[in-house]
Amino acid sequence: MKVLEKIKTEEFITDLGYQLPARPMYKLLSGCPETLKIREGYQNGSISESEIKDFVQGLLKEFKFDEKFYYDLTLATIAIALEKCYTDFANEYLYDLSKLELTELKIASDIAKVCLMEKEKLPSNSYKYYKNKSEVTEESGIKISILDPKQNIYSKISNQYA
Amino acid sequence: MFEILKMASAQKKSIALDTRLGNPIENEIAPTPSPMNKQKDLKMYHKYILKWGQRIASIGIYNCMGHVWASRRTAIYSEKAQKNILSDDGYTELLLTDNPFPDDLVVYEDKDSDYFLHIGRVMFIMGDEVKILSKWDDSSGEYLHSPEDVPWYNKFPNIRTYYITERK
Repeated sequence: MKVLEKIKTEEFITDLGYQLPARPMYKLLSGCPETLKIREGYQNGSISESEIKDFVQGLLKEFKFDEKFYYDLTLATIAIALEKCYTDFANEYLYDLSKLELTELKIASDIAKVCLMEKEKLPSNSYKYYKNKSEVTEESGIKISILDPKQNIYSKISNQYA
Repeated sequence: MFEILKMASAQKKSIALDTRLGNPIENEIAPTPSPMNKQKDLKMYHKYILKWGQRIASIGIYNCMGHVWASRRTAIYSEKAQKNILSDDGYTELLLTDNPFPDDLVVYEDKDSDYFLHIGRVMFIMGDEVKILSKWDDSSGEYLHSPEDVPWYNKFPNIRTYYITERK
C-alpha cells in the first residue's frame, strides 16, 4: 500500500489513539515511520506535489461543516512530513493549513502552526532555501523568510503559542 | 490547496467564559463527531473495556479541559488558556503525601518534553484506589478509569502524573 493511502486508513488513525494537544501530537506524529516515508518520498521525487495535492483534495471531499473531520491527523501527518522540505509547495501547504480557522480540523491547523514555528527555529546564521526541489542553497549571515514577510505569520504564531 | 475551506467564512462558536480573576478563556465548541470518529472511539473503548467504564459515548462540544473547567459546555484547546486558568484559579499541586479528594484534578505530562497531555477529574477514592473521569479528546466519550489506565503509555513512556487542587 502506498504511504499516502496508509495514512488515511482506519488502522493508522486508530493506532494514533485519541488526539492530544498540538505539541505532543506533533511529537508523536514526528516519530511515525509514515511521516518519515512521506518526507523521504517527496524529497527524492517518488511522491510528487500533484500526487499530494490530489490526495488532499480527495480527503477534503469528505469535509462537512459542523462535523469533526476524520482525516484531521492525516493532514497533520503531511504537514509534519513537509516541514523540513523547503519548497514553495511545502511552505504553501503549511501556511494555508495554519490559516484555516475551522474547529472541524483544528489539530491539523494547530500542528501546521507548530511546524512553521519549528521552521523559524533554524539557526539565525545558517538557513536553507530552495528555488525548487532540486536546487538547495545554504548561506550564512543572512536570514530570508521563506514566507511572504508582509504576512509576518511567524510572529503571529509565536505570540499565540507563547 | 485549501481554497474551498478558506472561502468558507468560518464562525468560531464559543461561549463567554472567564477565570476566577475575570480574564477571558479562549474556547471553541467542538463539532459533532463524524460516524468514523464515533467508530474510532468505540474501538478504543473495546480495547480498554476491562479497564474503563463508559459514562457517555463519543460526543463533541468539549474536550478534557472543557470537561473540567467549562462544565462540558465548550472545548479549551490553548496552552495559554490552560496556564491562565491554573494561575488565576489558584491551583496548586498536591504533595505526594497528600490524598486527592473528589473534584481535584489529575494532570498528565510528558516528562521528556514537559508537554501537557491530559487532565481529568477525580471522581472517588476507595482506600488506595482513585477513579478518574476523563474525556480523552473533543470527539471521544467520557470514561471512568484508574489513574494509570490512560491510552498513551505506549507512546509516551515517561508520563508524569500528579494531582492539583484549588482547595486552600
